[in-house]
Amino acid sequence: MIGSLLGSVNSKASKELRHHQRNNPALIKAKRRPIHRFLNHFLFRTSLLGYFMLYLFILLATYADGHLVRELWPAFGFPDWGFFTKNEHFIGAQVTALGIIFPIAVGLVTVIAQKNNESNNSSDVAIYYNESMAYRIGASCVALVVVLLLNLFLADSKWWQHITESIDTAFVGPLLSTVHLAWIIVNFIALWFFLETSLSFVQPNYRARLRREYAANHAIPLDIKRALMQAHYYNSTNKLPLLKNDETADDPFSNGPEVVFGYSWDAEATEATVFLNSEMRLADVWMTPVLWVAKSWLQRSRAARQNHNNVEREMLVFPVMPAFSYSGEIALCTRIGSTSLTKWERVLVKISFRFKRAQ
Amino acid sequence: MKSLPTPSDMLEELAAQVIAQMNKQAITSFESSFDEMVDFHKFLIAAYTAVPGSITDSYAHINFTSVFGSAPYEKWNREYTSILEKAAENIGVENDYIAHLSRLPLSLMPRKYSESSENIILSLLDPSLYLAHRIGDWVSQRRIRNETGSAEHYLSGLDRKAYEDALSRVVGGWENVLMAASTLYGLNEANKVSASHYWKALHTSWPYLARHLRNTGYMVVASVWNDDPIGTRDYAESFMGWRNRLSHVFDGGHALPRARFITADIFSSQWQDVQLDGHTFLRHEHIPAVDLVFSKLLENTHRDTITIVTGVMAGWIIEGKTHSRLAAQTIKGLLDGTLVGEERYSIVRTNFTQLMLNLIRMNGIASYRDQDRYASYLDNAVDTFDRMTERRVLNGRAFTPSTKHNRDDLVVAWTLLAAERLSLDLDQAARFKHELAEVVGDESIFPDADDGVRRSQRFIQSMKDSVPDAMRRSTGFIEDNHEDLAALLETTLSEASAIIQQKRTARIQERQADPAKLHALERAISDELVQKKSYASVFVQAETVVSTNTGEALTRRYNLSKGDLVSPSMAIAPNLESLQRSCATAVSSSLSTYLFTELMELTRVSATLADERDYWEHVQIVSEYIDAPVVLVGLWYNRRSSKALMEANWTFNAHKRVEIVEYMGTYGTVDIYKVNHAPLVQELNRGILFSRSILKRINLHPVEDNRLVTASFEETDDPWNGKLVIQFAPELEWDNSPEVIELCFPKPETDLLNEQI
Repeated sequence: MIGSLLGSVNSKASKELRHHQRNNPALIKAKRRPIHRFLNHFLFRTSLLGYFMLYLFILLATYADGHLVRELWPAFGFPDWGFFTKNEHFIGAQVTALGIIFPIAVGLVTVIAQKNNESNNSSDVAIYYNESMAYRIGASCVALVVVLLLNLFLADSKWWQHITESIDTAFVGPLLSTVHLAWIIVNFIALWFFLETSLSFVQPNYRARLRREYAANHAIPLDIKRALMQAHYYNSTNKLPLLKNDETADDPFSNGPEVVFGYSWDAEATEATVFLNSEMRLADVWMTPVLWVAKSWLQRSRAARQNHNNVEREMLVFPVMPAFSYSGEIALCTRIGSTSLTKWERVLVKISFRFKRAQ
Repeated sequence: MKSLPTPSDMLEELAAQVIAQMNKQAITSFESSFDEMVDFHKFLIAAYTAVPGSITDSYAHINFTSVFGSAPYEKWNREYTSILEKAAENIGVENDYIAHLSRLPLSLMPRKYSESSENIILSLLDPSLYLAHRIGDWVSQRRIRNETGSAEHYLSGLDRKAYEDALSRVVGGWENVLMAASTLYGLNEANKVSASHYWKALHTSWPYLARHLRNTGYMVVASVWNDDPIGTRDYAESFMGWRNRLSHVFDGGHALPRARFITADIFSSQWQDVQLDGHTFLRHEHIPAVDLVFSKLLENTHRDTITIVTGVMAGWIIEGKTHSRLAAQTIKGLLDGTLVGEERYSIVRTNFTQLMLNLIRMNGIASYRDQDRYASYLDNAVDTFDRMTERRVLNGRAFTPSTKHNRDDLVVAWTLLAAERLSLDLDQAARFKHELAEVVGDESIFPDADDGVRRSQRFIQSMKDSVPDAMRRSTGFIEDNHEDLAALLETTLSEASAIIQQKRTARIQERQADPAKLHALERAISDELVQKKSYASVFVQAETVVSTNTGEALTRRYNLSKGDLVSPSMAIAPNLESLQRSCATAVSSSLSTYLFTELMELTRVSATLADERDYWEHVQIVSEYIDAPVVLVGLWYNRRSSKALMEANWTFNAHKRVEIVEYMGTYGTVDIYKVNHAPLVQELNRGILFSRSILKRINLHPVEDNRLVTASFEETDDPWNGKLVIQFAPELEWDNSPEVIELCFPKPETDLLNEQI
């Protein structure tokens, strides 16, 4: 909603992409399996930090108002897990899981790499890592082990006891055990998925299917979205008022004011710049403010031409392109001619170009 | 994870795997790797195909990654280049690679054309060309010269056998691609529904068939440029039999023999309209079936492509780009239909009359600038075939820049072909003239009516002009007496041009100026006089009133081509709107001159001043007493020096620009206009100062039958040109209270000097 109000090229491209994904028969046929989609939603992308933050949130919620949480919970309360409250068993299970994941992952990569010395197999390796979710499953297991270890060593510490004095420990213990149990179950489901994917990956047919699934669910949507963003951005010129009232409207060689998106030009002056410390990707452009600025500039430029018989070439250029990566000082808007942007227009341009760290 | 692979990366890697298997000569692994790659490529094509309502047919067309880069689908196709090269390297070692690759277009083709976009489907036909090129390269590198070192080349026995085997697979695979058109475009299914559906399906399939035909011709041209008689024989056989291979789909037989001008432009009409025009355009008594019309279209396009192929090769002979006898032999073989030593393709035999009528068809249609028309197919074919000469240089192959880019560049080459055909049967000259007279006797059979006839005439004229040039360079191609042949050809072409001119002249003499067009001109001029009023120029405050009284009519005569006014039009560029605009402007300009002439007739107060500076000072002083003052100056006014004299009080207001007179600027409150009409300039000694409101009213009286303007056409001795006579009756009402002041100053010495010079 906000995206469409702002004229976000990213939102527009995402919407079209969703429509395409829902209706293109080839993409529908190459959808991932339910277990993959489930794990894809549950497991954080790469870092351990996500898991720690979530766990901390659960702890804080419990600490802040354990009673409230308990009242919201079903009337039968938490079962006393007894055996499972002993975190040592969980740790053992997780370490075993980790012990399985990494040797298989590394071993399989070696096999793939040696399969054909003459051909470059980096795609297969990348697809394997991505589609087996090796990193993400490993991260989830490692995060659980760390959490369990912290539980194990902190549980008897005076510091922890001091904190938990005000909490109903009879409630917190089973709650955390339930969280640990759910987490470990998910990790074992993920482990099964990983094993299945890894061991099947050596079969050419399965590899072809996985390649297709990876392409359909990751690479192609990214590529199409990039193309759509760029096409919408580039074609934004069509949304600007035509030179109907301009005396040079019929003249294809007119040097009348024009606005260009996505092309570099030998500019006479830079209107808006941004400094990027590291390599960043132009993730989105809010076209509503940008087009407003362009229209406003066009009006001023035409008025100046009418009043002063100005015949010099006038052009407003937005040289950056969505999905491209940039670093250092980047010109967002440049101009040829004497009609410049106002201070507020420059600010609007600056906030309309949204950069994200390049992956 | 950084840099996850893109679809193109994955396809590239699959191609690398295929090549790895080829390097190991592991044919089974090659097959499975190749199938894996093709499957993935097909999947990409399907996955990028946009659903209805999207901004494009396929997202694989969109390319913004680099300004001059390729679209994704083009990159995907290029991944096969190295595989094809590798397969060609292995001819004689393992021909199964070629067999597999010859099926590539069919393997990649979607089941139905609607599952992908037209551009992508057409691009899938190109890998076969790459394959033909690669095996051509293989031949170039392996052939050995004979003992005399002449241009004849031979392959060793084993190489020849392997090459022939590879060729048969390539040609066979390529012919299967043609047969797939029927299934791909659902032609049989559409035929069962209705004639309109069938027509639409044929229209959709046409770009595919045309591209296949062009590529087949390209293979012939490539093998000739490669000096490869074996390849030429096989490709030419496929090329000549191209139409026969479709005869099972379009059972047209030899129907509509006189429908010479059916081209792909006919698809711009719905089938119902084609039926309506059937008896004229198709020259058929009954409504022809879709198959009959389409078969004729195929036949004409096939003949045209043969004519272009032979023309391009004749161009090489003329320019000395090829010295082998293969080009000449191939041209004669293609035109005789006997290249492979059999009579199987005598259906495509082309005599002088047929060649000339083919050329008239090809050059009578629109110019190459109309990209959506059949003309663009022909011009693209010329350009594509001739670019052969710029192919990469191998041992025994030359590089020369391509010089033929459209039909106009082939005129000399086609003249040579015409001479060669005429030399075989001199009686064809009379037959051609007879048939031409019949063809051009009815302009309606030409797609663009008289425009097409005129273009044909121009083409024949340019052929006639090219005869000396073509005959001078015909050594080795035509054996007969050159001088007699050249004279006969020149006479035939002159007479042909005269026949066309005679028929056209007879037609324009029969036709009268179309009253509807004359009324349209009257309307446009009336609009100009009553509404737009550009003639009023500086007299912006004058009111134009349509009166019912009678008045004295002004008569203006303008030279006009009669072709512009007759129906059907015989103009060079028929455009009634443009004619209306230019007539309205001419009349408006004439009325404007009339206004200024009348203004000069009014009583004037004259004053002579010392010099130009004094002049402008007085203009400013006097103008204070005049409402909306205007100065009308003559040619003496110099924008730069006069502006300097006016100094700070000079401004330029673009909105004050008007038609007819030139706005120079504003000095204080006085607007300065410059007049260029010769009689007025002489009258304007230095300039006159008056008020814009001096002209109060322009009364426009009706001339005839309550019409403000009448337009008629006067014939002259020249049947092609005449006079457009325009009559209108303006009456001017001047306000005499403001005066017209004439301000003069003596001519500077430089002016006097100029006059003396």
